[in-house]
Amino acid sequence: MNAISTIGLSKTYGGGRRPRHGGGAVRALDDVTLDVREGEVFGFLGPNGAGKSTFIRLLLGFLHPTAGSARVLGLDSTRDSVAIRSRIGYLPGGIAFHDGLTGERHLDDLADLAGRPSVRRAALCDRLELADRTLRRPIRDYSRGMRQKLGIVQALQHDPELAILDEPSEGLDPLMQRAFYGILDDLHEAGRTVLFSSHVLSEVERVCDRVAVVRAGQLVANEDVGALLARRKRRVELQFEGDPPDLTGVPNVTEVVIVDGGLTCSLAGDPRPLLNAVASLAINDLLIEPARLEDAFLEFYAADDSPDLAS
Amino acid sequence: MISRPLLGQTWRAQRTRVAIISVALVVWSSLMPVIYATFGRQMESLIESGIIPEAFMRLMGSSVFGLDAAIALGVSHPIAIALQVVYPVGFAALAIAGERQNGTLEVLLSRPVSRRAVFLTLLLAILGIAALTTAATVAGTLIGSAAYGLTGDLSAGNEAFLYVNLVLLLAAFAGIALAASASFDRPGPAIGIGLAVVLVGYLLEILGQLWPDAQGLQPISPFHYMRPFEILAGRGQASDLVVLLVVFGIAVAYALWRFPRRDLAAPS
Repeated sequence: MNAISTIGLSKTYGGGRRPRHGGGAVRALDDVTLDVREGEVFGFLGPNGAGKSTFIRLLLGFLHPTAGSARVLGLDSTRDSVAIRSRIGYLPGGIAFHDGLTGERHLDDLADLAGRPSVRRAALCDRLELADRTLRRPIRDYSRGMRQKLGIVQALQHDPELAILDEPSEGLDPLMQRAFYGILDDLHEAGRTVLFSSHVLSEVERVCDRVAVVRAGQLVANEDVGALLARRKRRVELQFEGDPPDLTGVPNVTEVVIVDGGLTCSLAGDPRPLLNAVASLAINDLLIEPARLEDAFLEFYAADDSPDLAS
Repeated sequence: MISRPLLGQTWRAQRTRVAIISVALVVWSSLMPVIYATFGRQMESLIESGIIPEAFMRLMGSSVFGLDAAIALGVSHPIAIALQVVYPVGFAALAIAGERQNGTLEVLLSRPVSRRAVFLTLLLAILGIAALTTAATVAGTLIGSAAYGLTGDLSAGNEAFLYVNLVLLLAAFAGIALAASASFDRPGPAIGIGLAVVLVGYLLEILGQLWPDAQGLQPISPFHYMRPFEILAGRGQASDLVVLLVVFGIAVAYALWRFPRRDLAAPS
């Protein structure tokens, strides 16, 4: 079963249910159809303004779709939004709190509203190093990183079936990011589903099973991280004892350039044809650069001047 | 449709401020019987001398300066009104639009609480506070009257009518301000609408009392339907309560229709 399933989901701002053409209407999300399977960690990628938050807000019922539909945990996102929210955890991007309250009071209040016991709170606070002493201080005294940690705890403390996390590692230092990835691993092992919006590609590559890439409101990719990377062109450097061989015509190999004592080329997909072609030669050195999600991402955004993303 | 945890949290967050306002209203309204007991005779002489213009007399319901008139004057005085509308207008205008602007509304709405439940819970909290601050006004009146042995001059029925009328006036303000709060992304317009209803309404009512040519404008003022001088003279009208109830009902119905249908985009 799919935890999230959208069909032709679209959202236009400024046009109501009948989108205006021109006149200031902004198409924030355009005909997005995707599924997030139960138990997977799903990355939703795109630079700021691409439509990630709009997609999430549609799932939560904060926005009403202009066209299409979304089902979350089998429920309609518009009609059953309260029932959906009883089963999910949500971390908004740039989360805000009532600064006069203590962290502990805030977590208690939100747990009361969720109507479910905070079974994971202690473990989460322990992992994120949110000490009791810290939680008893007013939130106005918290640093940005501490607020983000509190946001993560409030989203996950009641052990939701589905966690929707918008830019979850924003503001966390590298150590805490690592701790957060550990939390995601725990959720994954426990069979929980995580929808994870980010523009930090390295963390998506590290923690996600599948990714969707959204660009200007449109879905431009939706597949396994592994499959996406396998298709990537990787740079290969070979050094030989003798003259470099002619690799023209070897499957998956392109852009062959002879350099001093060796060659460089691009490799896309299965490396075996290349390895077979050079297997009988005396090779001094071989370097195949790992495929990176950043490269795949940049390819989707090749037409854009400067996508706002981080590796 | 009411979220008990949210109601409790709202009450807990506001109780100190509500207590301060209530104490201020107790002190204020307890002064009216004291003023009457201390200066009533002089005021009566002053009125009988005809030195006070007819228009100003109309402000006091054309009654002589008695205990009822002193109490009515205290209830409709700008200071008392300012204290009474802090929550029905100020808090109500901020309750949804302010949370929305701060980004805290989406944390609340990520819980299984419907928008209608949020609205009705906040409305109930504000009505409860209005009932409490109005009760503080009554309590102050009783304390001040008791201090000078004047409780026998008070009519329980008229006081109860005044209490209900004042609560309904505040309910009408709260309904309008909270409906505005649920309709905008920023608190500015909601505060503007709430304050405009109170200030313009108050001005129109006073203007109509002072200037006969402006009397035609009085019916569009909510204050026109809360006439303390008339009520305490035993001439309160149930139709005034009905009008305020209808205004409240329309505002709430609009908000219950509008709020769930609104798009709540990410706070900017």
